[in-house]
Amino acid sequence: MSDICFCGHADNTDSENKRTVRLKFLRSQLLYDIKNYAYVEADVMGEEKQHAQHVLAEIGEEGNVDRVSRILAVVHAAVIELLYPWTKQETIEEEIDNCLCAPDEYVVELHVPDSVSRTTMHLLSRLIHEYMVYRVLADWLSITNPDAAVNWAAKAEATEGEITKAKTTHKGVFTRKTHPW
Amino acid sequence: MAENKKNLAVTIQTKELKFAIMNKTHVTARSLQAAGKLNYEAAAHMQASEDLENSYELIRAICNAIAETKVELGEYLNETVNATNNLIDSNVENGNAVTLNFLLPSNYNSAAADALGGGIHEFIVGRSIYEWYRQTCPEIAEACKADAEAALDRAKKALYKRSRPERPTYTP
Repeated sequence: MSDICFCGHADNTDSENKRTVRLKFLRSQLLYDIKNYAYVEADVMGEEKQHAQHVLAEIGEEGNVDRVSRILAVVHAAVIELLYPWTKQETIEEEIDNCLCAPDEYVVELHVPDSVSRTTMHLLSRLIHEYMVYRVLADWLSITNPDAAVNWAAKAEATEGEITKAKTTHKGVFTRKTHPW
Repeated sequence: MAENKKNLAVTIQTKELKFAIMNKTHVTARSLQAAGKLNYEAAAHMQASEDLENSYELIRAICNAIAETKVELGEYLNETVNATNNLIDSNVENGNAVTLNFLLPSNYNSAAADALGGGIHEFIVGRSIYEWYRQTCPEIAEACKADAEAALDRAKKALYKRSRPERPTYTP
């Protein structure tokens, strides 16, 4: 079933009882889901909004896909920030520009304690994929069909909550520190 | 990121347009005359023909309708015109084909291509007859305009038809 896998894991253990896990999100899979849901949204819109309907269905087309790339870049960065401190990185000293980029895969590198379960990583990878798709759809629908945008924004918000929950509630066994007396 | 666009050439035979206009106006005039709503003279006048005195109006109306089609469906028309004038299109005058080259999104549903061609033909015919009837039979001109607008809607509907995206596949 490798052709449907939208994320990949690569992990290795470092010296501080932490593992590095890389979550990979293939752009082609994200775009497919975005285009598929946009097609369904356009289909149920009704033909009275003919013009907005075809613009919605063309979310992945030339020109429009640039907006998708922008939002995917923003959401990718937001996800990395959301998963802090697992994603903590050194402050880079290079320049950061605002060039439009459309990478083949969006990678989230996590440095997680050994106590974090593999199942948590699986859950996170699924949730992040959905979150990226929802955020893009909410943005595009805010232009083409604002009524429907609210639903997708709510889905994104709920998924963001689940990501935070997955990060904070799967920390392993809590051990009370020993006291000297 | 470049996407694959779909090219679609819609060829409009102007001889077909002229025949459709003349035939429709003939049938309409004959029906109205038979129903006693027109006298012989009025019925004769409302039939478009290629006689010299009528043909200018006819081909001018067709040119206007083709130009309007380009405006209405211009979103996807692939044209690079950088000069224009008020002369009658020689293709229309000489009975040659006029081609509209569409550059469509990659998810255009090609099943709607025939409907697009048909809708454009119907619109040009209806719009031309409307112009003709405005002068020769104003009572039914508005009905022809409504028919033309309905045909344009059908053409737009066909132009805006999209297909579901295909799931990506990967080779190991």
